[in-house]
Amino acid sequence: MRAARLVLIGLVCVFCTAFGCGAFGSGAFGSGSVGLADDATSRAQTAQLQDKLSRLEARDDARYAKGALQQARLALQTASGPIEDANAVVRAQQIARAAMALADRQLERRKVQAELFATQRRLTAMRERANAQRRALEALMRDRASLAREGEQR
Amino acid sequence: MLRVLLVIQCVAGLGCAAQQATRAADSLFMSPAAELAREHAPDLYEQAQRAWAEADEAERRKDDPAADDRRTEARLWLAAAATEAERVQLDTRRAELQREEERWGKQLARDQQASAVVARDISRYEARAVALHEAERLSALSERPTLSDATLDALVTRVRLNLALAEALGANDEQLRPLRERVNIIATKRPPSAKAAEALLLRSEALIGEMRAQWPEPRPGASTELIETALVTGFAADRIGTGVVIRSERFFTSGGQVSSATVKRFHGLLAAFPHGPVACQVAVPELRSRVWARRVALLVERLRDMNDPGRVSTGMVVTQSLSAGAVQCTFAAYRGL
Repeated sequence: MRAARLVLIGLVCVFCTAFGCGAFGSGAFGSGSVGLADDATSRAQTAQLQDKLSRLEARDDARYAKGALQQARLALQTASGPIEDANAVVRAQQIARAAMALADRQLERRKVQAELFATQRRLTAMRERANAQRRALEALMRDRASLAREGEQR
Repeated sequence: MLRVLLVIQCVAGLGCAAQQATRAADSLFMSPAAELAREHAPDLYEQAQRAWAEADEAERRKDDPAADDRRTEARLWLAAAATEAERVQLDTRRAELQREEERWGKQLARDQQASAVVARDISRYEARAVALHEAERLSALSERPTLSDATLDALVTRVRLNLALAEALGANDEQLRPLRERVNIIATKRPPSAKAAEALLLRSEALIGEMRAQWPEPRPGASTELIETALVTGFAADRIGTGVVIRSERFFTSGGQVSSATVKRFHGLLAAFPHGPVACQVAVPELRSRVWARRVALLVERLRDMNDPGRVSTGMVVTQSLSAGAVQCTFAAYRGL
């Protein structure tokens, strides 16, 4: 009886190692069937993602996130295909979401980078102007001191 | 014992399956970029970790497509987090530069404002220097053998301005006509001697004084006119509590003689502003100095050489604020106007 219990534990472990189960997996069982309602929800989500992708692609600066947008487009193509594996659709949607988040951040980063460069250029110009003005002021103050001394001697 | 061995085998089996993925996760999530991503974009970083954990689970289930998808997703989330962290850092840097730009902008504005003030001071000093030069040129006319064209033109212009001022102060045609005729003749004939022109200039200044003298006391604004006239005739001038003070260090030449040119300019000023007594002080190194006592006596004699000799009183003073030989005269009647 004891030996039988040990053999059983061993078999369970081997099975888990081979296929992944129990506490480590949640999607292998119980998600094989997709009802009509789930199907409609999934398609609606894909449509929403498609809409968001279109907005991103319509941006003037979209070319700066070409790779991420391409990946999102491919993922959405997969998600909008015939639904045989609902999990695959969900995963494709998630990839599309992540790719669009990346694209969005890339475009924002580029915008901030452009602002940074513009600020750097303005700062350089401002610093040069301020230094030139300081030199001019110092020269003027020297002139004034010299004229004041001459005036005192009159 | 056998049970313990089986459990160890079981755990080891699971560990081996996950080992490769763990190494990949280490290199992905333990990089400096990932650290920054965790700090600046914790939500995206968490998404990445969640997707990676799901990939591990899928791998344990031997669901390779799901594992691949989840790892792709995790990498995308992590890339987004890293990009966001970079954006935050760039924005922080941009804000720093903007603050620096504002600081420089403020300094520029302050310096521009200060430069404008200093430039105005310089203009005033230069105007005074030009006025002094011009005043000395005109007051030294009789000391020169010939009269240049430029000096004659300046003289004619000044006489005409004086006549216009006299007219504005109430001079009638009878008073003005003979002087206008004389200035026109001088402008046309351009005499080589300065005497006629100089006499006409003094006469025009005296006419202004006559017009002002008709008033029992200086009119409002007279102190400003006195200061302006003093400045254009080569004196320093200020309004103080006791009246208008004019100053010059040129009453004495470097050799200690009384400067005729300066005295002449001062007489012109006295004639043009005829009201009240004028108290002059000559700065001397010490009161017992015989040299300075003699010089001051000569100056007093020259200053009294005018229509109203009692109007100007002159004394000596020892002061650190004026150099030796400097003279300052207070026109007391022009106080507070």
